[in-house]
Amino acid sequence: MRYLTVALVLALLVAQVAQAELPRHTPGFPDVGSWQWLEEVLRDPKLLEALRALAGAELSYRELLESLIPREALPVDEAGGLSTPLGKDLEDLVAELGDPKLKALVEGIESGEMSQEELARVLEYLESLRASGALDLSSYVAFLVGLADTLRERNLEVPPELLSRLGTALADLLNILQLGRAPQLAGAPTNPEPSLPRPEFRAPAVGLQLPTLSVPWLPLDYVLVALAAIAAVALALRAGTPRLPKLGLSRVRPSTTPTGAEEVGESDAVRLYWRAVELVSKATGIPREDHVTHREYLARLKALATEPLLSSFSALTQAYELYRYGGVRSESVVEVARRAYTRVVESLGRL
Amino acid sequence: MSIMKDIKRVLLDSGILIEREFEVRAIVACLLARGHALIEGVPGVAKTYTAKSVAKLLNLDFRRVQMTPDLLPSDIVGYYVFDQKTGEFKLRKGPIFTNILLVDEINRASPRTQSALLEAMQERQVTIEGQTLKLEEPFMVLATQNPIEMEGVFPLPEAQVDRFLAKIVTGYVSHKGFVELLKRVHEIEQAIENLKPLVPKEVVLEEIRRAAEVRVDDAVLDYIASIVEETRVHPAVRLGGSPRAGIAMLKLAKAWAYLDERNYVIPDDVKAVAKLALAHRIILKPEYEIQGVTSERVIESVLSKVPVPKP
Repeated sequence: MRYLTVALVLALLVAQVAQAELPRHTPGFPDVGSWQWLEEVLRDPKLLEALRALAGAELSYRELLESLIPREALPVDEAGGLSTPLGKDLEDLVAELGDPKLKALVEGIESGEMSQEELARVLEYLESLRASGALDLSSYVAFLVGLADTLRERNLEVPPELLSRLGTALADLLNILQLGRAPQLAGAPTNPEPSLPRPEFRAPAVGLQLPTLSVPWLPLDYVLVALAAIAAVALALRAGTPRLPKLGLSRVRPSTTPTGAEEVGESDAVRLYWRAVELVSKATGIPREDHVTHREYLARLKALATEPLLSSFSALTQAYELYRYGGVRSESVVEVARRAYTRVVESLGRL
Repeated sequence: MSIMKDIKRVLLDSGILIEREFEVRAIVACLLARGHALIEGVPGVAKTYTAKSVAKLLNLDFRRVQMTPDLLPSDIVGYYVFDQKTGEFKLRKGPIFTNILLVDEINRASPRTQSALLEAMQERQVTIEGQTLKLEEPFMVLATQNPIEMEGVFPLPEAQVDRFLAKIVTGYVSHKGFVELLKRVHEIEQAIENLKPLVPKEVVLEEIRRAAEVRVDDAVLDYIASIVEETRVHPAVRLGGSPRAGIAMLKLAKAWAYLDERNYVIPDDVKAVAKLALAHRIILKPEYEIQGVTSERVIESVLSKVPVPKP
C-alpha cells in the first residue's frame, strides 16, 4: 500500500512539475526552473530533516548530502571542491582552517556540552567567515554538515537555525553544481541536437529506503512531497538522464537553442551569466527584456541593487562580454565568471 | 586611441566646445570608419565650429568650401587652364583635393554642384574632363546643413544623403551650458582660432586601420541585419534601410567600439550608432510625418522591438 501511495504521489508531483515548468520560462532565457523545487525543499529545515528521516533513520547529514548531489559525476573543480571538505569530519576541518576562535567555540561540542546560545555563536562566526571570504561556500557547507552530524552523534539537538543555514547554503551550492554540468545553453531556438553532452548521473551512494510515515509532527503534505522528491531523484538517477526533461529536472530546452549555440553552448561564462540574470531578475524584480543589452541591464541594476550583489554581477557581466563578444575563450575568464557567479548567488542568499 | 583622447582633452575638457561630446565623437567615428558626416542643426548651434575645431586638431590637409547657389562643380573639383608659356593645359585642382573638406551649408549649393561631390564621396576619386584622379587618404567630407530654411536651398536628394555615413543632428546647449558659453565667448573664439594640429597623419591612418580590425561576432551581424530589416516593415516607414545602411551601422559600430578602447563590438555599440547611421536613410510616410513622427522615433521603436543577441 505504501509503495502504491508513493507511486501515486510521484505521478502527481511529476505532472505538476512538468506543467509548471513551461509558463515559468521566459522566452529567450535559459530554462532555469528545473532544480527550483529541490531548492525549495532544501531551504526548508523541516523538509530537509524530513528528507533525512525518510531516507533512513540512521542517515547522517553527510550521507544525505552525498545522496542528493551527484557530485561523483562532476569533476572536482566544477563541484566547487565539495568532495574534499565533505570527506573530513568537524575536527579536521577546524584544524585545517587554523582559526583559534573557531577552535575554541567548537570545543564544547566535542565534549558534548554546548548550549543553544553557544551554538548560535558558532553559526554566526561561521557566517562571518564565509562573508569575509575566509571560508568558501563548499567548506561552509562541509562545516555545517560536520556540525550537524557531530551534534547528532553526541545526542544533542540539531537546531532548526543550523538546518536552515545548511539548507540555504546547500541550495546555493546545488545551483553551482547543476550549472557546472548543465548539458547546454538553453533558451534559444533552433538546435534540437541531442548530441551535446548530458550529465552522467550515478546512483546515490546510499540506497534510499522507502518511507515510514512515522514522524508525528510532520504535516502529511510535507511528508508526501519529500517522499516523492526522494523517489523522483532515485528513479531519475537509476533510470538515466533521458527521463530528466520529462521530470522538469533538466535545464535543456532543445527546441529553443540559440543562434550560434553550437559554438558557445558549452561555455560556462555565458551560461553562468544567463543563470545569474534569471536569479537576479527574480530577486530584484528587475527583468531583462529581450531588447535590453547586458550593459543596459547592469545600468538598471546599479540604480536599484546594492553591494555586494552589484560588484559581483558587474564582474560576471564583464566576463560574459569578454567571452561572448570579445572572443576571449580562456579558462581565466571562465574562472572569473564562476567566482563572480558564486558571489552573486551568495549575495542573493543574504537578501 | 590618441585621436579621441587628444581631441577630448583639447576641445571638450578645456571647454572650447560645450556639450558637444557626442557630436565630436561621432565625427571622429566617421573618420575612423572612412566615412563622411553630415551635421544638421538650426543656425547658431556651432555646427561649423565643431567640425572646424576637430579638423584643425588633426594634422591633415583641411579645406573649407562655403556653398552658394552660384557655385559651380568646377569650383570644387578643379579645372584645366591653358598655360600660355608651355602651350599645355594644366590642372588646377579644386578644394576637394584635401584630406578633410568642410562643406558649409551644403544644401545651399545647386543640385549640379552637390552631385559633383557624389563620385568623390563614394569612390574617393574625381573625374575632370575624362581624367580620373584618386583622392589622397584619408578623405572625409564634413558637411553642414540647416534643416529649417526653405528658400534659397536645394534639399539633398536621397542618393546624396545616402553617401553620408552618418547624419549628426545637433541642437541647443542646456541653460547651464549656455550661460557658460556667454561667459567665455571671447576666450572660446580665440581658442578655436589658435588651435594647432596635434594628431599626425600617420597616427590617423594607423587608427583607421586598427578600427577596421575590430572583431564583430556573427550574432552582432545578425542583430544589425534584424534592425535594418525591421525598419522596412515599420508601419510609419515608406522606405526602410538598405544594405548600405547596414554596412554603415557596422562600420560605425566598429569605430564606436574602438573609441571605447575595445577591440570587439557589443550590441550597445550598434544601438549607439543606430540613429547616426539610419535616421537620414529612412523615408517616412507623409501621413505619419504630418503627425510629427520622426525617423529618430521610428528607430527608437525599432530598437525596442528587435531582441539583442542571446545567449
